[in-house]
Amino acid sequence: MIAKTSDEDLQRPAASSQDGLAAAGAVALELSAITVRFGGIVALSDVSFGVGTGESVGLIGPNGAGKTTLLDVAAGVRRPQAGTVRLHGASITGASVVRRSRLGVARTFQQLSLFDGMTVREHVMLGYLASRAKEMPLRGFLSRRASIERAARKDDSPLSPTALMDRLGLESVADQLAGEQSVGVVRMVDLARALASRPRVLLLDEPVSGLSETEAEDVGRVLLSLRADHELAMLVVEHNLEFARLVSDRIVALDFGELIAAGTPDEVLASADLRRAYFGADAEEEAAIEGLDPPDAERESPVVRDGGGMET
Amino acid sequence: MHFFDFYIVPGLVIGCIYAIAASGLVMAYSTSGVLNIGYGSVAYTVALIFYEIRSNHNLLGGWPSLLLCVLVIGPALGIFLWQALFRWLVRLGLIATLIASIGITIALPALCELVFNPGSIFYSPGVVESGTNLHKIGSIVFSTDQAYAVGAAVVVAAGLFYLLRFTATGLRMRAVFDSRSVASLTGTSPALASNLSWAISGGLAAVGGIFLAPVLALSSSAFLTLTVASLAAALVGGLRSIAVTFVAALAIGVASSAITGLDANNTLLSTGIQPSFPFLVMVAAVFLRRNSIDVGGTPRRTFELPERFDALPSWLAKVAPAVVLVALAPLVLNSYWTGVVGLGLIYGVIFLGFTIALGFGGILPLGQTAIVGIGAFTAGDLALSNHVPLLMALVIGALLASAVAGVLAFVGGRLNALEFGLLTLAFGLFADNFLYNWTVLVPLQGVTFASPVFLGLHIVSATAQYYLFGIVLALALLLVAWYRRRLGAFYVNAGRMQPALAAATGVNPRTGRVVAFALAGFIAAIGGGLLAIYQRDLQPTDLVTPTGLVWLAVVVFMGIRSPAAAFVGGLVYAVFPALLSTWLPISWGPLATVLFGLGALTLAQNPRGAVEAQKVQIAWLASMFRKLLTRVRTA
Repeated sequence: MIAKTSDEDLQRPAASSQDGLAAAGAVALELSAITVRFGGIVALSDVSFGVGTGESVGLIGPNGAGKTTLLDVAAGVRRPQAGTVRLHGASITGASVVRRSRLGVARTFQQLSLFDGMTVREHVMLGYLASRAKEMPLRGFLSRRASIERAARKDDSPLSPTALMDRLGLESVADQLAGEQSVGVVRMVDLARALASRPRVLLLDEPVSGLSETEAEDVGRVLLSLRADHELAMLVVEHNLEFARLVSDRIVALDFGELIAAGTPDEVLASADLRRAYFGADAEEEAAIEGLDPPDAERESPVVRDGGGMET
Repeated sequence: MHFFDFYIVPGLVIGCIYAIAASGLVMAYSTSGVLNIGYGSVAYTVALIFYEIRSNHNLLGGWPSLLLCVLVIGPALGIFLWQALFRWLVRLGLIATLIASIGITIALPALCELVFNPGSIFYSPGVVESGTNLHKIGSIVFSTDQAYAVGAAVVVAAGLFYLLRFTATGLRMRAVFDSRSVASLTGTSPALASNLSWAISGGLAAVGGIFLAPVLALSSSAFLTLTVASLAAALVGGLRSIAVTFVAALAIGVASSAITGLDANNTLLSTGIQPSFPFLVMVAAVFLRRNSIDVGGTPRRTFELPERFDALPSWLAKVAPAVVLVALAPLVLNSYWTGVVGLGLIYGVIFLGFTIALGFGGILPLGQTAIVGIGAFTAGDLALSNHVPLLMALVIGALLASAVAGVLAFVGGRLNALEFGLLTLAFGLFADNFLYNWTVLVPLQGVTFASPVFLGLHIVSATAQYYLFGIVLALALLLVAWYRRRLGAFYVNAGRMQPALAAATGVNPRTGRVVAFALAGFIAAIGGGLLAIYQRDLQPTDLVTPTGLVWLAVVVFMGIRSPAAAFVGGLVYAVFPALLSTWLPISWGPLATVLFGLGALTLAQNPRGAVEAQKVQIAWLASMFRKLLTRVRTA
């Protein structure tokens, strides 16, 4: 089990907070005492944990637990009311999404979003260009696209667009519109786009949602090999507990915005707190959690409206 | 008491009318997700029909005419717009519906002009004959028309409150407002609720229009003010709260009027700021919103085509016929038609600005004429007062316009496409009412433009100017082609399609917007300068926001993402009215505007524009022809 980061830890220099991360080397991403409220609803309450370099951490919990909110906080989409986000020891709490991406935080999306009118290759190329932009004058704004793309095709590094598309099985559909591909292919496109930006931290939001069991296993294998090859720190939000077990060195479980368990996959999946979160108070009498996926909608997630209806 | 009687009370009356209209705007938006900025045009149309029935032709009395317009014509027009147009466009997102509503803004008043030929109506009587009679309560003096306007607002407020709070229909409508899908699971028909709310919205537009006409004026420009004021109030109300919208509309009416009262000397405060006040409220409401206006998802496989670039030989082969035609045109045309086609080339340059801003950058430029005007007036002033060579002044003016556009894009960087569009609309209307009235910037008599001189050659004749316009258009097209091949355009495109995904990939959508809008402003302002050279002078009324909305409608109709469509659109915009004026009586003049407005309404059928649709049809015909040839040969 991994202890939550204490207040004392937060006062210490970032390097020393590695002490709390048994499995990891240097801490790549550290979330400390994160609190997020939506009006009166507390979506995250004082959540702290870290992801080490070359480590994969699974983030699980029932619907409405706060998993995606936490991922949004890590990616910079949402600012926490309290708490700190650190990337390799430096605070990035106030940094924008763009800034974090340029610092090496990449993410994929649960709800597949694509650039309409762009091919698979262009999606991957965009990630690649983002990683190369700082080497170009004016971040490449006035550089000729065709010449950069030609250079990219000659790039033989493992995270080059060509290598990534080859590794993720996208080469055959590279010049087709991404929006016309199957869900499985689009998930791979999203992953390739994120990886092409050569991230130090990869945030994955339900990467196998909508995929078959075989496809999910394939994605798992690819993620594990990438993590091993590139020393990636990965934070994987996942509903599929089997998949979370497969790709995670450690698992962190949330419920109602609170961290209820953290540790190795076996420890967390066997914990009573997690069973209670998924199956209610009579969890001890329920079948063993091992091998079971939680039902899709155990409870309503807190709804935050965006000015939809009408008032008199 | 003097200030209260003379300024607050009339402001309250106008505010009441704004409140009625704003309620209708919110009703339609809440149930259908359509922000109809053509609402003022609907109100104008019904008010004009009321005027024709009640005053011009004396067909019915005041009250029967009112009932006919409010209970039949207004609701019927509302349902027609929803059923025939907006419900098909909703799937394309809020921007598409907004562009269509621009089409309505343009087409309906022009159609009214075509059908009724109303001319200038100095006073449009209200419901009662004695509308101008004055009454006095204490020290407050008011007319019968004003009293009826306030009464109408009270009745509308009470009626809406009762409908939505105490009736089963109101409950069902509110259910649909909150969630169409959940409402339908409970047996409520969302379609019926949408029809009902569009009917009510049309009815409220009728009430607003009929009571506004005698108090303000029965003119399309007065009704544009109605649209903007109600839109500002609706935005203050978050596009959902009718109560807040009502109060905001009253406040806008009162504050606008009070500003006039504060400025006894009739300086710029009252002449410029007062009419601009609703726009300033709109800007404040857009910036202070806690949540963005939901613009809906990006439509898949409708607008988007992959960005593909031809190799140079293939590109030359495509553009060569157009270049040859343009180059040879003056040889076969007389000087009048050479001038007309030359004007088309100028509009081609101006329209390229829309292509870059909206087509490539996803920025809705609703106030583009202000950018064009800043560039053109600056150029004219530099040339006239400071003796800067005109062509150089044109470039300097365009650079200034580009900088203004860039600053506007930067300031509105966090706004979504719709909100930014509203910001540019407010800026455009602010320029119309304030910048163009500020004699330091724009002289009252406008700016005179001499003939340009290039390398010692005076470009005076229609043919010489034609070639100048053609060369500038060619340079603008080359600039666009150069830009499209840069990584910056790739980033801008990504930011336009999916801002969140682009940001997560390290692409800053804000930077992209600034670059796209600044480039669009530069090119459009160059076009504005050419327009001034063509006209030999430039008046503030030449570059007002409604004109820019017509331009936008034409470009959207032709194809917003295609530089070729901008070129064709420019030619059509100049040549078509000239053809109409040649062949048809002068009273048919508005027909061109009607058709341009209706063109924007075809967005649902042709999201990629008429030029692209024609290209597809020509390609289909060519393939059929090839097949036929093959069969003939085989036979």
